[in-house]
Amino acid sequence: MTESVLTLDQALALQSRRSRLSLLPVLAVLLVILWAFDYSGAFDTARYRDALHTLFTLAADALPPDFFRWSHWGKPLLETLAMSIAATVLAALVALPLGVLSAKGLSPALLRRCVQLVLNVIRSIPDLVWGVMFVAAVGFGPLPGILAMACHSVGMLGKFYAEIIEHIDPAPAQALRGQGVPPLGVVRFAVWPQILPQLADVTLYRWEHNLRAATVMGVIGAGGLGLELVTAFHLFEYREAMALIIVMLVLVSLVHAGSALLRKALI
Amino acid sequence: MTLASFRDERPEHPQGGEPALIVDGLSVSRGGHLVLEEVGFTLEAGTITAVVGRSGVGKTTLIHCLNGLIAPDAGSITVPGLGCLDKPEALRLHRRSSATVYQDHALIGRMTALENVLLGLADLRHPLSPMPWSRDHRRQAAQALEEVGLLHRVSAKVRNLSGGERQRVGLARALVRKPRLLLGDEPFASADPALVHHFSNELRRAVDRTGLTVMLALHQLDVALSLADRVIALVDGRIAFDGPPEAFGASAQARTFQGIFSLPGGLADD
Repeated sequence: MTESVLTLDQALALQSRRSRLSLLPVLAVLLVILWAFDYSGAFDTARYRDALHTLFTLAADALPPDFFRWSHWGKPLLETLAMSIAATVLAALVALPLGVLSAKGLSPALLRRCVQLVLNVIRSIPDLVWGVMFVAAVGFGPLPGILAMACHSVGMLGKFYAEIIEHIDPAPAQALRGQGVPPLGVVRFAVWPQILPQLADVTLYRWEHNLRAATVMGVIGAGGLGLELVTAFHLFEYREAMALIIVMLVLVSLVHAGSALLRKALI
Repeated sequence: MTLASFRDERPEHPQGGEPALIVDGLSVSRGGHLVLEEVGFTLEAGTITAVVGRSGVGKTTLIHCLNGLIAPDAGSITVPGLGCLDKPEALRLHRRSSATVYQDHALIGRMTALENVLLGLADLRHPLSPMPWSRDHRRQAAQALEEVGLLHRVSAKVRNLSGGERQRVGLARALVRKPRLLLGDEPFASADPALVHHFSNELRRAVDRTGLTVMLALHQLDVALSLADRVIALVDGRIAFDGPPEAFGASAQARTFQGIFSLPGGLADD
């Protein structure tokens, strides 16, 4: 119980040495960022010379948007929406137990590391690659899209869920343990109410992400509005493609507004 | 309604003067450091005991041993009628009849004051029950809030309450359990002097009328001396003083709190 005695000068010298040391990682990160831009050719000014002109030409070709085939878009639109909902729910159901198992302090270290490894592997495979595999496995249509997006989402959500669970305030759980509440009761009454808003937040965000991803899934034959978009591009129907992009934008905005309302209700 | 009325329906409570809890040779070490060493005392039913000492001296560890959150490395805690708390059933029954108020309140900010008080009854419900809290439980929780003068904030989210109000919600969560033993880890840390005075009076009335046994870790020495029947002072994890507050004189206080202001340039040099 003896405090180490420092003079004011010693304390200030110690603090300034720590400040100098903390500058080094900042410089290192800056260098890495500069290298990344240079290595990927972002500083090559010659590459930008015709870029603006080409972009304007493409935009002019896509205007005004052509909604002539709108009556054919209802089913793909619903397919895209259904894919995003099903994939997100499936992913959340699988990710929650995996998130609990990979959270520090909730499961044995070996099991935690194994689950973290599984989540890392699942996450590092892009959803398009998952899509190619599931198209081969279960055929064309929305189903391979759902499975592909769910797989990638499990990797992401599992990691987010684990971090949310690790960062809760342990005091309410400790208080309940101190009055004899069993572990399951502690999870129900002290952990769940704390993590619910953040779980809902990242899951809703993932739903919005999956809605955009569901469009891209069309490229590999997984149905939805993406298939219409790719077909329009292949046929050089840029005006129709623009109309489809606007329809997508409206759908994403509606989902965003809906999830914002849900977030507000929960937090 | 007074705080005392929470205890009126508990006839099995030990009579005043009878031992309510016996601590013998309690030692706890954490991270290779001995936090409590050979601590022993007997709490008499219907008394208020204050544990005082410098920060980090082991007051919180002692409270956590008494509610079973920390298992001691050596020694025993015995509750007459239940037995030694190293037996799971004795610990379960002891916890059922005790409650703890925490320094950091241990509340859930996004939940209302009433919902937080209901957590004090969580051991009465099945963890997987989908049913909402019963009307009777909600009534008990509202009564506990009324007792601490916070009924008007029943629906307020705890994150919107002041520090003192949160402390009162934490106290209500303990009172709703109708405890035989009330433990407190700095329960008045966020309360203003008027509120401390009010709660001190209410606690004393509850103890006198119902035989409630209270043990509080306190850093406010004046509160400890005016409220407690008995003061236990810890120094380096050992009991340095155990007696009535009148006997806890200047020299005992100096021995308990020595060194706080002894750093170079500290107040002791003024």
